[in-house]
Amino acid sequence: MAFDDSIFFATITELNAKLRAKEFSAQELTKAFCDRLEKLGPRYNALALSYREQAIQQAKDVDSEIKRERFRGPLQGIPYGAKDLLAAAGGPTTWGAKPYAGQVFDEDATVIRKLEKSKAILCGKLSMVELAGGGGYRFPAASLQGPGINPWDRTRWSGGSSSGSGSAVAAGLVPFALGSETSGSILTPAAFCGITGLRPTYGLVSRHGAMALSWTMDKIGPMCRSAEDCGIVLEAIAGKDTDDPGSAGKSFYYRPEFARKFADLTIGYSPVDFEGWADPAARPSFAQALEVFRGFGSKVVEVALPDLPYGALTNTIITAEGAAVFEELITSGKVDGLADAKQIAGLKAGLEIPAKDYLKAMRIRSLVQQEFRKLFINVDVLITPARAGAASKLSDPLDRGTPTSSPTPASRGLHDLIPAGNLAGLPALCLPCGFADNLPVAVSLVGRPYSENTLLAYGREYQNRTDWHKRRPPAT
Amino acid sequence: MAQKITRRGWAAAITATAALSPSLNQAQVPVAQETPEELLEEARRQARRNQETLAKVPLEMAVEPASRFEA
Repeated sequence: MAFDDSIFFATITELNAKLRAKEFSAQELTKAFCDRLEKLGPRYNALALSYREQAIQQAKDVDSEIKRERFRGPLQGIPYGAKDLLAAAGGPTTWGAKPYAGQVFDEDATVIRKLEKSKAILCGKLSMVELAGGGGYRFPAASLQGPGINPWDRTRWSGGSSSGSGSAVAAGLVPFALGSETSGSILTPAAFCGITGLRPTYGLVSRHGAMALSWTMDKIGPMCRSAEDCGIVLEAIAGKDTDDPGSAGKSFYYRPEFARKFADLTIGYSPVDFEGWADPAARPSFAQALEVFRGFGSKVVEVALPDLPYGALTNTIITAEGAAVFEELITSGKVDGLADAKQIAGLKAGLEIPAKDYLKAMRIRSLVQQEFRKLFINVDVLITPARAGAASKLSDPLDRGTPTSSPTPASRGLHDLIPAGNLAGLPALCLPCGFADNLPVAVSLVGRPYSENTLLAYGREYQNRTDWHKRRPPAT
Repeated sequence: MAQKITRRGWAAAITATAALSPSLNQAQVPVAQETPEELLEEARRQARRNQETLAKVPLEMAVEPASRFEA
């Protein structure tokens, strides 16, 4: 069956409605997405491994159920891709790193199992920055599959570390994907690729079967076409898991109809984020997005992050925990098989971080959490540019900063919200909001722990009023 | 949970990776200008800078390390 291109950019809800109406079968849909993923995935270095055979077998089962009118929910028969940091039995799970190229697990990660239970269909594993960037990398090419290539411009990076998840969703290779975030790895590729990404509250989604980088900061979340799709996927993957010591034991039910009225809520923002820290080319899009949010009727107030060293904190915590996770890799010398020389050095140096420094960072982290609790007494949602500008060039070193003609702003605003929000385990939603130099840019919303329904309600309303999330990259 | 890969599995993995990664996209990781030793020294300096930055934050004795990871 030949599909119109629009199918590859349809939302989960739209695809599921067509499956139930028997406009096409799950097998036809799965084959079409597998073909596209295998054909175009390499163009963006997005595909780690195709799961075609297993996917088509699963799709057969779905068709049999739909034939008998056994409807299982919105994910039934929907193809998806998973970051190659998640274990899936039946194929290698490489963590994007050459030393693990032949690694095979004999059971699925909890999130893969939960999606299978929801009858979603795993079509492929998606590429990632090696070891999710642990140790700190200098170049986008720090990946077993090569640099994540942005579907909007092949000279640009797709972002990391969930690079393949970002580009595969943006290019219409899968309807949705799973990514993971320790500090920015869902929000960055979602922003650079022009898709909607949700970083859940720490502990809401099980990490059993996922590569660990930082036990105290790792989160797994959906990367989709819309806020609504993120809600649907989160409902399927969230929940208690005794196999994950960090599991909060909470479920999530996507119920936007029960969200509080926007008029009863307060949005916090900082003008300096939009006018000072933002790349000048992106400022009009960010300003326009803020105006749309002002139109919701919520009270809008100015806020700023307390003056704490968020970058040094995340760097110390992630590097120390990451070095402990990969101690055997480092001490055995196998770490030298990684692609990025800076990352190799960063992991080695991580083993030398004194316990007192790690504990100091964790003590200051307590202060970060206290400060957020205070901030959220008067504010319900924070809004800020997800990244200051659009995707960087593939050849740009990532540790040298982006050259800019603008002076560094005098105040912090919410500029460090990615590391700060991750230190506090807060949920975040990334929403495409326009373009800068023909590349997507996005805003992010951050809320209290377990306030995903509030963020998603804002995201859904924003996407009802705008169409940035419906834009497609050229020539896909 | 990890298991040793079989020779057949290994072959399948290598074949799959090779088949799906055309040379166009195998951008070489740019060679670092620094030697591995220099990069390691730079990473150590970064850790020291972090340590110095964290040392400036006043902490009362009662502030314990975070043991819950959501605020």
